[in-house]
Amino acid sequence: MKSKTIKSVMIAVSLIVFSCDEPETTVTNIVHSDGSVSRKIEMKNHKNNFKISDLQVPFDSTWTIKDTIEIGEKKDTTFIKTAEKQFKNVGEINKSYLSDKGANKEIKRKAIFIKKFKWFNTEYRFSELIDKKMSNGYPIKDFLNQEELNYFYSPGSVNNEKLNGKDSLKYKALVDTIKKKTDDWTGKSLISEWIYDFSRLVKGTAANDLTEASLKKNENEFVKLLKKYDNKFDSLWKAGVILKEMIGIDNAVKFKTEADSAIAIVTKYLTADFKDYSVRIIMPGKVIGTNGFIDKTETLLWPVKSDYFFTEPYEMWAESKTPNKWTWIVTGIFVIFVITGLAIRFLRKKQN
Amino acid sequence: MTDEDKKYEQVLKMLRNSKPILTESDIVTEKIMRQLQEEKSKISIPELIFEYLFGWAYIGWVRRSMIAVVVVIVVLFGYQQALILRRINELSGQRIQHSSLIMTNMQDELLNKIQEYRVTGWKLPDGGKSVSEKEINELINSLNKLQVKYKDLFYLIENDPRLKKYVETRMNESNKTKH
Amino acid sequence: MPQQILIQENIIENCRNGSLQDFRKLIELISPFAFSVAFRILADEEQAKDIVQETMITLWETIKKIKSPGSFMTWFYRIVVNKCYDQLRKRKRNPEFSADDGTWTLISNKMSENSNLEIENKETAMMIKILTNKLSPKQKAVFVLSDLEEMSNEEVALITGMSRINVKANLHYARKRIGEMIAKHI
Repeated sequence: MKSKTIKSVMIAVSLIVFSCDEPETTVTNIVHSDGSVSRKIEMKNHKNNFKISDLQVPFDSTWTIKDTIEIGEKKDTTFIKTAEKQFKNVGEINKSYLSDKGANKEIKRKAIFIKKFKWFNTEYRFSELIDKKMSNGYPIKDFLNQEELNYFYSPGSVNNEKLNGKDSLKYKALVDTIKKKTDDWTGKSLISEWIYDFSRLVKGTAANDLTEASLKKNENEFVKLLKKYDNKFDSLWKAGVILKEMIGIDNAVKFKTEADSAIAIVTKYLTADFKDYSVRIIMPGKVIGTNGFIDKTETLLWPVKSDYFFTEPYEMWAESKTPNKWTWIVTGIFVIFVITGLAIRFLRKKQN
Repeated sequence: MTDEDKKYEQVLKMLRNSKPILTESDIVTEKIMRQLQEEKSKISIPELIFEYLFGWAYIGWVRRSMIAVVVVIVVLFGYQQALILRRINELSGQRIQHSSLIMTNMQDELLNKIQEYRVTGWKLPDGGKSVSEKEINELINSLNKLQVKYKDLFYLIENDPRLKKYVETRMNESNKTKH
Repeated sequence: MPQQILIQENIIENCRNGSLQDFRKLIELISPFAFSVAFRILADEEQAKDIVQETMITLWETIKKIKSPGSFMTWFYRIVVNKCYDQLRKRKRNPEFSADDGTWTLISNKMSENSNLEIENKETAMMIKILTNKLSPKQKAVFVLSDLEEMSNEEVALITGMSRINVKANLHYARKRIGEMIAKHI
């Protein structure tokens, strides 16, 4: 078990803070109708320090890089690095993700582009998908209601406005509720993951009471234990006290190694480093659907935080359409032609 | 019945019985048919074109098929457009009304538009972007302010030898890194 | 109609749809009737043949206007009679025909031979010409359709477009005039 307690790691995970080193990064994907993507990364930092290892998204010397500075109203300096590159297709973007050497290299990410010809319109769908960390956690929507989920997934700027707006008290209370519920969610997901890993490790050697199904039945009890031994978790786990309460003295002694291995796996999920950033997508034509945030300038934005793909994959998608001019024209001519023919026949019949 | 009536009836009877016989009826028929064929072939070119274009309307199965196709097209079009409109309306409900997400001020917004335009290789993205006169004016004002700030900054640096030396050193370093 | 012309409805329908083949059949069926009426009104074989030709052309051009196959024959006879009227109007410019005594003697002889005798076209034409010489085109038409073609007053009214009373009046006058001619010369 590492030196950090689960609780402190959970706090670190659930707190939405930027570390001091990584820049504030926004990735803009300008999607073109042929599937090519113009990708632009804008990084802002208060220090002129943009180490590759700190960067949230991959880029290298093949990108067109520009450095500028911005002096704010309070005379503070912001160093801005912008990098631009044209990708022929999403395959090239995915290759760059695979060869990423930056801060988020452990995270599996991919871009997907689909183009569908639907006669009168061509529909496009672009998405960036981040693979989930834990396979056996619970979805966050099982813990938060719709309003809480909206807040949870909202960009920081939007939430800040709410916290400083006329309903600030309401939102502050909401923040507390969300914090409590996300703690529960994280705890329960970690325990679920531990149960899966532990039962897998002891499979074949343990009695029936250590199967995944039987351990799952005691999941809520384990959560209570976690809360009970909140501050002393680390020491009590090392001493085997917690494990004994969970699976009995005999099993605790017999399968201590496996239990520790399972805890190590779980801790890895928690401590996996991820640096937040934001993604923007600009689609060809008119946007018709998205799960992102859209403002009146039709800007689509998603914050990317480690919580979002903790137990489920996080997909940022947008759909748009462009009219197929020639199809409209040809079909229109055909329809007019048929209507004209029918009208002529009708008029001639009437005349006769 | 008088004699005159009798004579009248006789004449009438004779005339009735003597039905006129159309001799050479075949020739008459042929003449008629020939004349009709000639008239038919005299159809003007516009009529011909017209018949060629819209003759299908007089053929039952072709007409019905065309009507079916048009109906399908219209239904498909209506359905597609209704679906898209519904999605766009749903999207407007998702819209964040009170602020722009990442744009802090109009100048940034305009600059972003210009950046995007440049990034795409000076091609406007599908759907186009527009810049209003107001935005242009804002940009010009912003540039003017920047120029003023630059002058102030330049003045500051020029009048402080230590600062000037520091800035020069850092700029040299920066240039070296670029090359 | 005195003569029942059996025309299949589909022939008329096909003609309306532009079938020249079926129109030929129609011509073969009805041209004798057109000729009969035209000949008896105009009393001239060649002119009657021309009327038949013109009638068929007009029929082809206007067959789509026929409201129902049932009203076909009325329509058809109407065309024939109207064409005859046109021809008679042209004739008015020509000098009047009057028969000589020899002609009347010929007629009397024919009558006395056999009342059931059928005379040839030429003689029929001559007879009709002299008997109806003084009649107006309408009177001629009414006489031919009623007394020679043996159509009813109603049918004659439909064909000529006159009222039944007018038909009766014209027929009465025609008979009277013809009767006078017969009484005078035969």
